[in-house]
This record gives sequence, structure tokens and C-alpha cells, in this order.
Amino acid sequence: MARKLCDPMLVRVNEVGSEGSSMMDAHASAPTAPAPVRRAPVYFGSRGAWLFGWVHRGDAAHTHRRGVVICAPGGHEQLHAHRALRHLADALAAAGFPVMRFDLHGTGDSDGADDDPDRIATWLANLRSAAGWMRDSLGCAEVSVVGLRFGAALAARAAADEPLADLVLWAPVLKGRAYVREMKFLSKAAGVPLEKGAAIEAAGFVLSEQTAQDLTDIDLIQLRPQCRRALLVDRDDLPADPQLLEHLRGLGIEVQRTVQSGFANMVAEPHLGKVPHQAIAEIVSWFCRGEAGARAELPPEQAQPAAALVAGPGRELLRERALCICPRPNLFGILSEPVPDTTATVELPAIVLLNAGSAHHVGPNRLHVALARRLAAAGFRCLRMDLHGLGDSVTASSELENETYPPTAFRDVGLVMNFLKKEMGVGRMVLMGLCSGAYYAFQSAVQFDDPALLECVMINPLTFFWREGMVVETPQTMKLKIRQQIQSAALNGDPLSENSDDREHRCATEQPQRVRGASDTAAFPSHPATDDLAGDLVCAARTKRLLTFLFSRSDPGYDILTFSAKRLVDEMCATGQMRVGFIEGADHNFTRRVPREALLDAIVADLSGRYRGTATGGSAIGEANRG
Amino acid sequence: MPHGQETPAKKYIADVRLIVARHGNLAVGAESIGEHSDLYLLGLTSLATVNVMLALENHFDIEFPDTKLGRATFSSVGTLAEAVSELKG
Repeated sequence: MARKLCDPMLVRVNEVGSEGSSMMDAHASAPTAPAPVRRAPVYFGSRGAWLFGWVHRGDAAHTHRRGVVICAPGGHEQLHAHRALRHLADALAAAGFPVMRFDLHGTGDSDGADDDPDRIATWLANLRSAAGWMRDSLGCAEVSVVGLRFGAALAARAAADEPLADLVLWAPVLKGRAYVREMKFLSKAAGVPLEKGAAIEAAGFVLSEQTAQDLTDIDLIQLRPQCRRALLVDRDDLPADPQLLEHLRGLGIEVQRTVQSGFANMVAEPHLGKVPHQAIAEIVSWFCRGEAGARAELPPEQAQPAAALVAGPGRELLRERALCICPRPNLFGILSEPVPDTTATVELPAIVLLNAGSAHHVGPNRLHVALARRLAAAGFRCLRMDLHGLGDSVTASSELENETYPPTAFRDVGLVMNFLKKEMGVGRMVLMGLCSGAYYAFQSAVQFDDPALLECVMINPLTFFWREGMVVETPQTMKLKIRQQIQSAALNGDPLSENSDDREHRCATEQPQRVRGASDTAAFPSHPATDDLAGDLVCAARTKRLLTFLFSRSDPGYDILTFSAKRLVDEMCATGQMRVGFIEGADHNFTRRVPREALLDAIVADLSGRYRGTATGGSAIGEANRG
Repeated sequence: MPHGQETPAKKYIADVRLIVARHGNLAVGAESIGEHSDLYLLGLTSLATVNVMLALENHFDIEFPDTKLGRATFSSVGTLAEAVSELKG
């Protein structure tokens, strides 16, 4: 049994959000015939822990009695494919199938961590729990599973233990040994040394020695999955192994195979990711062909838990709540908070984590989940949210979907701050973000008047200014160019760009730039009209807000900051209004575990030290500022 | 190797270049990838490197041993062709 929720805090879906439907209205964004789809966040128990998922449903009166569970891939592929699998869930729901997509234990928003024991057995149990939930809570007569990559291997393995209706294996991992080898290579390609018998760190996620060993035992050709039909969706950029098709047919399963393009783009980094609409349409069409045409009215939608207890870094209990921050524009987030919440907790500032690039609210390498839970364990409430058009804040506008620097972002920040004040009783806030999240935190510090915004923490910003159409290069090339600019300026005796005399005037008189397609953003700040970092710092200084910058040595942010406004940076650091720290050994997204832990330690120690009076033990922020 | 004689790896250069261009997700096309161009400077990421590895293994029917699975092997078309040549014997 999962840990029991505290009854008073058992938030039900029907109560999530301040107005309108309990579920988030949406439209599937497949290119053809979009039909209304409703999505609802849900927590369900599995093997003593709570898992997070989303239920997607179409027209309640015309729903198939066969539900579909989507089993996501592992590690970075789960993060990268999140958007595509959300589209798949929408498309299946629009076609009449109730759908559950969920995070396996230790992944996404579910309880647990990478290095928890018995990963494979736990994940198989999780998949069975999700299927059971579809039967028990939605009344599905049968359950099918779509598995992507490692999720496909899990689905086939689960079907060997317990029959499923249909099975879709999308670019399946055939042999766990090959998968582990890929992860090892990914680790080495990123320059992470591999030690015999040690955990594998691949693209920000950790495979423990036990998990890697258990994975090597998986071989789909040796399994005997039990299902009526199976669909193999092979990628078109590599030749497929014909063995699986022959093996499944040999078991008497009705198997079809399709080769689809778009796999590599689907699992590319989130800001580069593309949704493989054709592959999704093929999967939906295959499911529809397997239906006899009979549809039935499923039982009425019941309120489902939208809150759960999860383990903190010291195994302490924390509460997490799925929050519909705003129905229109759709804004979603997950709040982590200590249990029990005390007066002290309410009085502490709440921390808001903004999207890093296009990665959804769990953050790159699940950084935001770890940070939110650490902060909650230290007594803070922490909200990890998706800006509109990113992650689970789904937009109906294809123009706004997956935009790293969306024009409506400051509107969303304003709406979130208002929500926290009005609905959660929050009096003081800290905005925090990595990469584009750092840009939003910085410009919010510059532009928002709200005194509830106390301070902002910027981690590895790549820019302090954004204009539509701008391209931000990779941190490596940017760093090189900035250094060349600095050298050139020094050689030529050029003045640094910090030479305007009218910044005080600009700060007082300039009106925010209007942004495209967003009339409802007029009341909120927007992207700045001019690229003037020094002027922005003058404006921020007037707000008296504390600005904390945290940089990786290999990132260009510090060079940009000091190249453009060194005098102001020095002045603000001297007065204590700005602090600059460095995290040693880190790359842009903190994909390595040790620097990632150092970042988390620095942030939690700093906030705890200043707001709770807890001894910091010398945080990276304090050390760097003194240095 | 006497001057003017082609190294064994040379015969793999063209195929390797095409595979790198197709699977490497680089900012440039195959025609702009020199034999000794630094693929990481051209934008080869660790994620794309895995796709390049799998494609090379499939195309040449080889398997890179652990000792070859590192940044040095994948740093240029030339180093990759050398590795392929060595593995093909």
C-alpha cells in the first residue's frame, strides 16, 4: 500500500483550479480532426509509493471500453519524449480510448530516485498498477500498452507475466545488454569516466550497478508476451532486427510492423524535439482497426487524488500537489511542501522554479524535482511549473507550443505569483531558473513591481535579453565568442558597452514592449524592448531585490554579465544586492551528479541560512562571493 | 606508409562521412565535413554520437569495443574511419 495521504490535504481533481471543469480542456493537436480531450493529473499507489500520471479522455459518451497505458522510456529519453507521448495520449483519447501516461517510480514527478533498489521489478509492478488503476477507476474492460524504447521492453516483459489486450512496441529495446552499452557510450561520449562496477551516469541520469545488471537480463526474443495483437513501430534511420517480428508471430500473435520516421527528432533535446505526428496517427489507426466498433458509456468520472506523499532526501515525508494554476491560459505546476506545514513554513518565502529551456517542469536531469524536494525538506514550499505551451501547460496554439522563450512567459509568471498569493496565502516569493528560466527570473526582477517578489536566482543564463527570432547558440560557442569580444575590446581600447547615461531615465519611463498574439499580456511585463543589461541592472537595483547568479565555469553567462556591466556588477556585489557563485565541474545543465549535488547544496544551504537561521557550512554562493 | 599510398582507412572515409552527416545532426552538410574536421566543434552532441555509433555498426557490421567508445574515436571522420578499418581488419 502506498503511504496514506493526510485526509485534510487530499486534494481532489474536482477541486483543482479555480474555475470551470475539473479537467483541463484541450484539443488533441494531431494535424487532422482534432476532438475535445480532457486531461486530469492523478496520483496512484504502487509498491508502497505514489506515482504521478495524467489521464486523457475524450467524449465520455463515446468511449471505448479498452484503455491504453503509455509506458515511457527511461532516463533522458523520458524527458525528451514527454511532449510526443502527451500528443500520443491526446490523439488516442480523441479517438475514444481512455489513456494513462505516467512516471515510473524514481522518474518524472513520481516518488523515488535513480539509485533506489530493484528498479526493474518495481517498474514492472508500476506498469501493472497503472493497468489495474485503469480497470478499477475508469472501468476499462481491457488494457493495452504502448511502450517506447525501454518502456516497450518493460511492456513486453509485463505482458509475459499477465495478459494484455494489445501491445505497441515503439523502437523497442530488444536486448537490455545493448541498451546498457548505449548508456555506457553516452556517458563516455560526454566525458564521464566509467569505472568497473560503478553506476553509469548517462545524460544526467544514473543507472546503478544493480539496475544495469538487471537490464542485461532482458531479451525480448526470449520472452513470451501474452496479447492478441502487437504493432511494431520501427525507426526508419536504422535497419530493424527482424527477429522480434518472427518471434511474436511464432507465438500466434497477430503482428503488424510499420517503419516510421521522426524517432531521432522525437528524442532530441526538448527544444529541438519534434512530434512524430505520422507515427502517432499510425498507432491510433491501428488501435481503431482493432475495435469492433462498440463503444460504451463508462462510469462517471470520479474524483481522483491530486496529492501524494513522497520521500524527501532524508526519507522524510513530503507532500506534493498537482495544481491547475490557471485554466485559461492553461498553467500547471506541482507544489512540494513539508509535512506537517507549520506557521514557519507559511511565513517562509515560496520558491518558484521556471522551465529550463523546453524541458518540462521536472527540469533537466530531473533537477527541479530534486531541488523542490530538498527545499520542502528544509521547510520551504516550492512550485515547479510549466509556462504556457511547455510541458503540461498545454496550449491549443501550435505557434506557442514548445517555444523556449515564449512571448507570454511574463504573463504566466505574473499569474503564478497572483495564484500563490490569493490561493496559497504566500506573502513572499523567490523566482529561480536555469538557462531560459534564469532569463525569466532576471527580467522579472527587473520589471515586476510586486513587492512580494523578494529575490531571484539565476543559474547559467545564456542571455539577459530576448527578441523574437533571436538564436541562442550553444554555451561552448558563446563562451568562445564572448572571450574573443573581450580580447578585441581590450586590444582596441574600446569602451565596454556600459556607457549609457540615461538608464535611470529609461528605467522610470520606458513602457513594456507589446508582444504578438497576447492581448491578455498587456497587464504584465514582456520581453525587454532594448538590449541593455546595464540599464536592466539599474532597474533591478532600484527594486532592492537580491540577485543571485550561479554559473558553471564552462558557461558564458558570467562573461556576458561582466563584459556588459562590470562596474555595476561590482557595485551591486559590494552592497550585497548581488551575489555571484560558481559550481565547479558543472556543464550547462548540470548533467553530472557531483556538481548537480553541489548546486542543490548551495541553494538549499543559502536559503536555509538566510531565512531559517540554519548554519550553512559555507555554501558555494558565499564562498564564491567572498572570492 | 610510402608517400602517395592510400591508407586502409581511406576507403571508408566517404561512407563514414555520409553516416556522420545523416545521424550526427550537425550544423553543416556532408560536403562541409572535412576528414579532420572536429565533429564536436561542428555540433556533434553526445546524444547524436550514439546514433552515429549505431549507424556505423549496422552499416559496416562491426561492434565498437569499449576501448573505442570514447570522444577520441568520434572526434573526426578520419578517426572514425581508422577505427572502422581496424575493426574490419
